Amino acid sequence: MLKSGNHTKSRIGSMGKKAHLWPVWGLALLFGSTQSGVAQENYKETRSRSMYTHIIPIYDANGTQIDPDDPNAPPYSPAHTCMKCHDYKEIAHGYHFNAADAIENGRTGEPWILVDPQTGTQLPISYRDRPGTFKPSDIGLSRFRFVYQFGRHMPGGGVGENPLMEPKADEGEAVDEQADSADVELVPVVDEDEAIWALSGKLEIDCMLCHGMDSSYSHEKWIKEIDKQNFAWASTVAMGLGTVSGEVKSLPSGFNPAEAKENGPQLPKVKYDKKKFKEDGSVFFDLRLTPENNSCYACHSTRIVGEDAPEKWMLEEDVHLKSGLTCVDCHRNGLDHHTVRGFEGEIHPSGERVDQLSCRGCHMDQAHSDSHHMGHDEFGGNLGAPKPLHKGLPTVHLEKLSCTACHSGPLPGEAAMSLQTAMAHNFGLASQTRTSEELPRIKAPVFMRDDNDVITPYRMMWPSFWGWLDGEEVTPIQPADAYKVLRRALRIRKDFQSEVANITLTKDQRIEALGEEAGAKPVSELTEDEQATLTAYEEVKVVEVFREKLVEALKGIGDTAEDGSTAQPVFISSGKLYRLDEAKEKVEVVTEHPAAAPVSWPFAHDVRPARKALGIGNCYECHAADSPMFHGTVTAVGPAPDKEPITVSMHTLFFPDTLRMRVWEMFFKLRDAFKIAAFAATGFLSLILLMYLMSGLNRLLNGSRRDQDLD
Amino acid sequence: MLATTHATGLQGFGWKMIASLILLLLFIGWHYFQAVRGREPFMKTRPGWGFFVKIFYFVAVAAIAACAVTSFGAVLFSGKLLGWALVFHMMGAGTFVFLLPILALMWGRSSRFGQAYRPGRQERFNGLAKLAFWIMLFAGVITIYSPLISMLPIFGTEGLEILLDIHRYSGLAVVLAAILHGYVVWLGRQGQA
Repeated sequence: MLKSGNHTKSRIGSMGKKAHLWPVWGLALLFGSTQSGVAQENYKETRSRSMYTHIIPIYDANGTQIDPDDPNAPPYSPAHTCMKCHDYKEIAHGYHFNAADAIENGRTGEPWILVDPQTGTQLPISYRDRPGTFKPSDIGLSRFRFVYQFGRHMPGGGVGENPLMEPKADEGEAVDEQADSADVELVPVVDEDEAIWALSGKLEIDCMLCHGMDSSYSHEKWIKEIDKQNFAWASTVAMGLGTVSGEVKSLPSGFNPAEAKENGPQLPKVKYDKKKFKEDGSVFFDLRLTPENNSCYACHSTRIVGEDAPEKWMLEEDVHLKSGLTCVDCHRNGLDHHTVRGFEGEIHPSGERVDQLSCRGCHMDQAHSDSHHMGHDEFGGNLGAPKPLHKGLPTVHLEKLSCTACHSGPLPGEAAMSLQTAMAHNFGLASQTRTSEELPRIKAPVFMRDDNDVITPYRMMWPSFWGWLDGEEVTPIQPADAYKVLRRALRIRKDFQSEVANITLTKDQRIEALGEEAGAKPVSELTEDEQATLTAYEEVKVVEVFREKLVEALKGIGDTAEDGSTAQPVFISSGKLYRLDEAKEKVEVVTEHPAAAPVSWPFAHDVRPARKALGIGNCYECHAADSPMFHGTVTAVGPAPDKEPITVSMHTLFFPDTLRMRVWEMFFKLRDAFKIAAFAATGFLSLILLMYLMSGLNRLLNGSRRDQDLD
Repeated sequence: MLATTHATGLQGFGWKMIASLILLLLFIGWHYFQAVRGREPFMKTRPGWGFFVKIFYFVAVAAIAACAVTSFGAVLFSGKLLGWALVFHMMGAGTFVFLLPILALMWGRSSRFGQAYRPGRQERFNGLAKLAFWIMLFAGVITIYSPLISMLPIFGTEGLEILLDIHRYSGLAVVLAAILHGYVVWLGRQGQA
């Protein structure tokens, strides 16, 4: 601690005055140093609420200060620059960096989604133990390939700089069995791409990605450097400290930097912007302790897409942000960077209670029956949060529904909407080719029950991939391997989704669809009705043609099976599993295969104002035969053309007892009439009771008087 | 957990409910014992019950029983009145709401203390039955009003919680009174006296 360090300094400072006590002071200093060495951290802090102005020297990955005049200066290392004053190792275990660590995962979150447009792949993957996701190794993604694929929306650290660990395999003992044991020895997983790591460098935690002020950091440049496999250079470019020429991705296989020729391939080179450096070589870091919303948005943004999607300017932001709060007001963390996720029942790795930072924690008062709180209530109101009135809302709603069910995300409509997310759709990279249909296809809001049986809004995606079916298990095929077959069988060049849906109808087919006369006309001369008929016909044909081609594709993939393998080639899309029939002449469609089941994750933002909560108008916003929450539809979407997509009514996902739902809806149809009749009947009863009461009192009083008179 | 979640089993309301039921059953047992030994005064004649009186009374008892079983079961086992139990509770409650005024009209006059239905006629109910009847009616009114008012956008969560507690306790009083009334009526119909 600095405190103990200061004590040591003060002792040293006073030594001159009492030099004759040198031997004593010497011992004391030695003893004091030893003592403070135990307690002291090597990290600095100002203890001031005022933000420290970071004008600091920058260092490379070896801890050597960067000289901007050096033409061969290496890229700056955020880790070695920041760790001079901050505990980088402590920070590096935070939630944003610890996906591959063997830790409690907490509530499920958005998975990484491996997208390959050529093969129509959209595969949820995660190092965390999330239901419905695959491990990167299942799809042949080495640690390097994973970082190359997703580093664009990672803040660095974690698998970006540390090897994966696995239990050391002893002879005769399976690794999985060992993993259950608490005292397993972990050893690094050998990365098949170790040689490339030596060129790309580590993807260190880039503190500025989150802590940089608005315009001091370019997420787009970070994305582009990751795409070039210039991991170690990404921070330098993104922060605008210099420009980088060259890319690791283009280096020839087996490239050795030590043997690089002047005119041959070279490792990327940095040209530092000297204007950014002070005379002493230090650099101004425009940062703040608590990240700005803009930093969070880089990875945590969503957008509703599709024909009915509202324009961006028509949307309102989260009510909390509009009220002046920031993301980190609730999603806080200490130095350990274990960012509070804010869901109910969250167990924070620090052991601190964080339920006060959930919706209910701030907005409601909580009763505690545990001995720790002596049975006292805890009051909300953090950050000035108003306490909701919930007038007339039966309290059971507060137990059976999450706050987010009524307050978060887009209001549910007739059907779940199409949605894109920053991490899934590579937001942050300016592009002219973005469409609403680009993979992965995600739907929201979808109401489901969470692990605590509470109805919660989710986002949902149906995996799509080529794989091997063995028993009930489907093992995904690496997209690159699948593409070798699909290229020919499906004639795919760039985009599976659009190319399999793109067919040209023959004249005979047009006649079949429209009849002799209209079918012979050019498309431009068709009436609206005829065009609609033709479009419907074309949609059917697209599916037919796709399934015909799919036979060839699956046969082709089947030919690549290892000798002796009994696994069957399959394609999964939109909740359906496609496989060859026994004669291998047609495609068989399985609609309820566990491997085709959707993956889903709850969401909490954007929070709508109270007056825009679901049900604020009346009960019938939910409890009616046409309510979006119960009767809105969820349609499985994926890259494969499908004329009859799986479509379910929303209630089947969280309220499968249809009979009870119908009875309940019938009750609500009669609710208003019942209220009037019940008030009338009870009012009448009250009058009767009042009458008898008055009569009884009257009799009682008269009786007393009579008794008095008799006395 | 929210303050809205109530303790299950014999904690909170549960033990009060069980204790009051046990006390009532003990009283009924003691009373029955006294009746058998002829120490308690009973009605001299069986009350004359018409068809509709029987129907209304038994439907009302069935409605109260449905509400009691579903809600007491929820209190004891899950802490929450949900699902089909809530559906049946609502059905029972709906019936109870409209039958209670009918019961008041039907038996209010004959349940006046110290007064026969008509001058000169023998009383239909004894004091215990009358007491149970009036408790059932007064508690019933409170039991009905508390959820009815909850249906209006007047009270917030805390107010609704209080109304729910009122509903619980008044509902319990209705059930206890209904059991007592039923017992006394049954006893009278056995011709014990």
